[in-house]
Formats: sequence, C-alpha cells, structure tokens
Amino acid sequence: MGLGSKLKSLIGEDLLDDLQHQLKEVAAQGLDRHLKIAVTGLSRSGKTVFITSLVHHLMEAHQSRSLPFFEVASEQRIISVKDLSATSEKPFPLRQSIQALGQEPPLWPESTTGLSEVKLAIRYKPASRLKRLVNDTATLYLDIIDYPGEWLLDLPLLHLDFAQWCSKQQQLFALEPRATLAKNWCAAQSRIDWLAPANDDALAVLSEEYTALLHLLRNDENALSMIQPGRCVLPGEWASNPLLQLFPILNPPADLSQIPAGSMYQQLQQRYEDYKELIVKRFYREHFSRFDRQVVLVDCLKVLNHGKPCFDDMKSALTDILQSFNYGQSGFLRRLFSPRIDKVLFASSKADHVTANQHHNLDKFLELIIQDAQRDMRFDGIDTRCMALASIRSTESAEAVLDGQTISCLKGINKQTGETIALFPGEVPMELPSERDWNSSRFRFLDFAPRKLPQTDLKPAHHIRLDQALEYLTGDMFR
Amino acid sequence: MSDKPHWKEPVFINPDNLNTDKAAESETPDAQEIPLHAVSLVAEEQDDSQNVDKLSPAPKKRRWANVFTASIITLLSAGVIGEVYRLINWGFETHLVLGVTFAALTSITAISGVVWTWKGLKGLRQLKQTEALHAEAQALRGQKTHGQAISLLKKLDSYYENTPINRSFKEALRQVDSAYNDGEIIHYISNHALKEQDEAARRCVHRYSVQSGIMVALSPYATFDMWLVGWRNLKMLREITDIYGISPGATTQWSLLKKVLHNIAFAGLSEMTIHAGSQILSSSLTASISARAGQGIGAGLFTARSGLQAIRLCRPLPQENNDQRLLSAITQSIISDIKG
Repeated sequence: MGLGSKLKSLIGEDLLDDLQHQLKEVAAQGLDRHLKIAVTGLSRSGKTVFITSLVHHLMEAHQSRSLPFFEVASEQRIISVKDLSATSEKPFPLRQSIQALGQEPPLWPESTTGLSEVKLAIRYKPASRLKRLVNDTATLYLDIIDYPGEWLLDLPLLHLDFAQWCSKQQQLFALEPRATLAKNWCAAQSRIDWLAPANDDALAVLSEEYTALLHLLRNDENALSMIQPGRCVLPGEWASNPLLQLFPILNPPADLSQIPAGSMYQQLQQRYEDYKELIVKRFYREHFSRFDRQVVLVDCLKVLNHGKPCFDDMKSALTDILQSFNYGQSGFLRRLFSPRIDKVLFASSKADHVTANQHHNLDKFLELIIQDAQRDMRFDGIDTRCMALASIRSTESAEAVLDGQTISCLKGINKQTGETIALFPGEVPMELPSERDWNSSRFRFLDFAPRKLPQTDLKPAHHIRLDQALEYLTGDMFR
Repeated sequence: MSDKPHWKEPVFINPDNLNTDKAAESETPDAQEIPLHAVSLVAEEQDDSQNVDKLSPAPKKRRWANVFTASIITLLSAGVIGEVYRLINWGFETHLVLGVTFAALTSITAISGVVWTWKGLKGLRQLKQTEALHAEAQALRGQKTHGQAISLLKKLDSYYENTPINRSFKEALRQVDSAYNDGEIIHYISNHALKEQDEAARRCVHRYSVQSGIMVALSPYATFDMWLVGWRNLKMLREITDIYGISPGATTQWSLLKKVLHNIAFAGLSEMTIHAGSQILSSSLTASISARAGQGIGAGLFTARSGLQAIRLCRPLPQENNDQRLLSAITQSIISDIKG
C-alpha cells in the first residue's frame, strides 16, 4: 500500500481530493486576482449565447465602446484581453460561436451538449493611485464554464436519497400535465413487483420509456423544467452506460426497511447511489463547488407562453438548483481557499423580445419565479439583483399608431419563417396572472432570429444591459 | 368572459407602417414615448428618501430687519447720488474738462456696475436652475420607468445651449440606447456628457487643495493661514464655476461659497468623520510629522471638501460617489510634497 492510498483510506478520498484540488488552485492563483463565474440556467435559457457575447464584447473592449456601463471599459482602462481557453482541457468553441453569429444569415449557436471552459486574462490599469504605484497594470483571470442546463438538475439529487427522490417525483407526477402525459408509463410501472429479483430487461424497457417521456415533457410544447436525472436526456460521455437506466419508483413498496438484496428496488437504489457518486458528485466537485459569482439566467418568456404548470415547474427547479451552491461572505482568504458565492445576478434573458418599457415588468416577474431562492440568499447576506438583459439584441424598437394610440413594438426577423415582422408582444404581468388570464391571446412572445454580430466595431446597441451585468459581477475587481 | 380584459392584446403590425425609429437613434430618445397606462405603473415606487434637500432652507425673513435694510440702502444711495451730483456740478463750475471727466467716470462706474451685477445674477440664475435640474435628476435616478427622463433631457439641452459642454452633451445624447430606462439614461448622461469637465474640476480641486495644504504647512503665522485658505478657496470656486459653464461673478461666487460652507457645516457627523477624521488618522503619519504639517493636511482637506461640494452644486446631474478616492489622493500628495 503506497503512502497516497494509505492517506486516502485514513482521511477519506473526498477530502483528500478536495485538498489536492484546492492546493493546486491556490498555487495557480498566487497573487493574481481570479474570478470564477457560474453561469447557471436551465436548458435553452441562453447560457452559451450569454458567454459568447460577453467574451466577445470583453475581447473587443479595448477598442470598441460597446460597454458604457462597465466602468473599467468606459474609462478605457482595459489594455487587452487574452483568451487562454486553449490551456483548458475542453475549450469553449468561442470562434465557432462568434462566427455563427457573424455570418449571413446569422444563427444562434447550437445548444450545448458537453462541458467547456472559457479562461480570460484581462489586463487593465488599476483605478486607485496606490495600486498604480505598486504596479502599472494588473491582471484579472476570469473563468466561465459552459455546460448543458440539463445536467444542472442533477445537483439537487446530492441532498436526496433514493426514497426521498422517489417520493418527490411521486408528488411531481401527480400534477398536470405530467400526470396525463405519463399515464402509460405509470401504468407500466404499477405492474411491476419491486421486491422481485432484478430483471434487467424489464428495467431497460422501463428506463427507455422513461427517457422518451422526459424528452416529451421538455419539448417545446410542454416546456417543463424539472427533468431528472439530467443525464438520461443528455448523457454526454456516459452514453449507453447501464447506470443511466435509472428512473424513480412512483409506487414504492410500503416497508422500505425490508428490501431483499438483488431485488428490483435494490437494483435501482444502487444505480441511483452510483449515479450520484460517480457522475453528479464528480461533476459538482470538479466544476461547481468553487465559484465566486453567479449569474442565473431565466427565460421568463417561455414561462409566460406556456402558462402556470410551466411557471411552477421552473420555480421549483430553480429553487432546488440554487440550494446546491455554496453561498456566504467571501473575503480575500476565503476566495483563495474555499470560495463562496457572494454576489448573484438573476437575469431574465431575451429582454429584446419584449418592448423596452416592459423590462421593469420582466424584472418583477422574474422576482416571482426566484423569490424563494432569493429569500434564502438574502438571509445569508448575499448581494442579489434582478436584471432584464439580452446578450444579443435581435430586434429593433419601433413605434406604430394603432387606433389613434402610439404603441411601441418590436421589429425583427421571425426565427421560424425568416420574414421580417413587427410585433407588439403584449405586456409582461408584474404578478402571477390569475387562472383566466393565462390564455393564448394575452402574450405572443415569438422567437426572433439573431441580428448579425460584427467581428469588430461592437456597439452598445448590440446587447441590452450586458455591460451592467458585467459591472455588477466583476466591477469591484477592477477598482 | 364577459368583462373586458385589463391588459392589452398582442398584435402584429405591418412592418411598412412603422414610424421609423431613426429619430430615436440619432437625436431625441423618441422611442421611449410610451403608452400612457404604462407610465403610471411604476410611479408609486418613487423613492422619496433620496429627495431630501440638503441645501439651505430659506431663512425666515424678519420684518424689521427688512425695513431697516431697505431704509438704510435708500438713505445711503440717496446720499451717494447727492454727493456725486454735487461733485459733478462742482466740476462743471470749476472747469468744463473736470466736469466731463467726472461725468464720464460716473457713467462708466454705473454701467460697469450694472453689467457686473447682471452677469452675477445670470450666474445666480444658472445656479438655481442647476439646483432644480439636480433635484429632478436625483428623483429619476435608479428609476426603472420609461419616458420620464425626456423632459429633463430637453431642459438640459436648453441649459447647455451655447456652452462648450453642448457638444459632448449632444454626443452622449445620441448614444443613449432605446432600451435604457430613466435611471440608466441619467447615469449614462451624467457619466459621459460631463466627463471632461469632471476630470478638469477634479484636477483643479486637487491642485488648489495641495497648494493650500502646503502653504499652511509652511507659513509661520496662524492668521496668515486663514487668509491663505480663504483666498485659494475663492479662486478654486471661480475656476470650478467656469469649468461647468456657469457664468462667474462675485454674487455667484458669494452664494456658492455660502452654500458650500452650509453644506459642509450640515454634512452630518458621519460624513465629517469619514471625510476628515479617517483621512487624517488613517494616514498614520500625523503622529510622526509635525503639528504644522498636520494643520496643512487639515487645510488641504478642507479645501478639497469645499471643492467637491462646489462640483456637486455646479453639476446639474448627480454624480457617483468616489470622493473618498480623491481625498485620500490629496492627503498622499500633501504628505509626499511636504516630506519631499
């Protein structure tokens, strides 16, 4: 037995891994300032576009004046920004994404199927005279990771054991529209005796049906968010691994203390624990436990288009996810040894899909979705803020006179049909609409195709409030 | 559903029928003209706590004091006019040339006096206007509404007409994005239109503060110090009003000085302690340097604070607070200059 393994057995593998990891990072960080930003958001909430646009604007910050509210950029203190992503194991496909948005006609980047990382080194002139005395320039290292939003929903599993998860899913599947959509699958499940010896074929069939069901639940029509386990819909490097043949048992046996070994129930329970241990925990420890700042991107318009079930589902999904992050005051030493998130920005993406006067309402509506999570964070003394932003602006604001009344509206290219349309998309409600108000004629938030994002010469008109988001997240680092 | 819904339905509009939005992008932010019902939604959120006016409340006028002032002014001016008339009269009686000289001198004095007062009054008017604009901007600051900033922008536009700031103001106005809400517009204009002026004013404050600090530190007489600081302060105020395009004049300067001193005096204990105390104490050099140098730093900081107050009063738009930075920079400069 080598020393390493002896130590491991003594202290426990997790702790040692953590320690090793931390030491490595501390050594790498040295005295330079490091900032790791978590871009959190369910699938299709605009994480990739956000990262692409953010990085692109930052890289051009030394010459274009596209970020007027980002102080270090507007004061022209940024000297240069270097992309160090190549040093990462899985670099973010920055060039492809920017090219896709810059070509004619521009396209939204493909949805993310794997993990990737952006590393930026920002060289800037410090604002305070004292620091300038010590050093003419300073460098801030900014790390952002991109990952499929589906995987995020695995994080809440870390706090739950199999029985708890099953009972949670049970409650979930009792609600509409899930109950109707999952009727067949539930029926198939109820025919199975969970205490019988494990039958891999039966499990495989059920799990395949479950995966199909999950895809059905999250498609454009149903747009539900609470899709667990996330790897079932997007396996990544775990494709066709039997571990992913996992699903919740909706009618578990009454007495859980007497589960025979090798039974169906025990088999699934074992898979669940392995899934947590091998996939979720590793993913979390390697990529998710060490953040300083967090952006939570929420697609409010999707919720408004799909009604109350979608709202409730997204609310519970986001609240669950946000409980998995480390929050707390983060001082200098803390940041070095065990970073905690000390600032959280809740951003409703796609603010360009509503008229400018509705941005405030969008903020208010977002607060409705995240109010539980935000309350917990405030309690921990975390700085939080809500903001309506658009990483890439795909519409122009315009006005039209309708029935003698001037209304502001949007002009852009319809993503489906490809033709130019002008639309007044309706007003964003500030409170949760009552049952009778959720109907299709109240809002019509269409998806617009992006406008071209030029390679250079970026303008403030290419985004909405991206600069304010940057200032909020990183501004204090550049002082 | 029999009753009419309280919301507005979404509509498609023929793209050709749109009012072109070019105007909004170039000159005035027309794009933020919004339907009336949207305007009222956020009005209730106005944060009145920010509107507390720090500037002097009008002092109570006492009747007898007024009567006394009026009568004494009348009396004195009657005396002066009579005296001048007799002087000119006597001049003409003595010799024509002497009389013409006296008459010319009198008229020159009268004309220049009137012009001077007029100019000073103009400055006063501007200061008053600035104060009103400042209050309005302060109310809009941090508001997430749309369209309320337009009237303020129009007022600012006419305020800056025919001043050197006009160009940078127009430039900043052109770049205001249609998506900005009122608070963001104020913030943007405040940070971008007056950038050069702020920079110049801060440099000016820094220079005068360091000068008065060093003068006090080096001067041997205590009474002389007061005179020095007063002199530097007045000069600095004149320069600051000049930078922000407010027409300089003795009345303007006087009223500005009054307001500055008033603001400093009523700045509240917290601000005082932060501003002066922490700067002097934190420099921790006070213990090791001489008492004179300490006084120098004190005088320098006083000048800096009145300078910053003057900037605040001359600026129609509220400023982000980074006074602390300037104050510590000034302390550092004074110390290093004295030691060097």
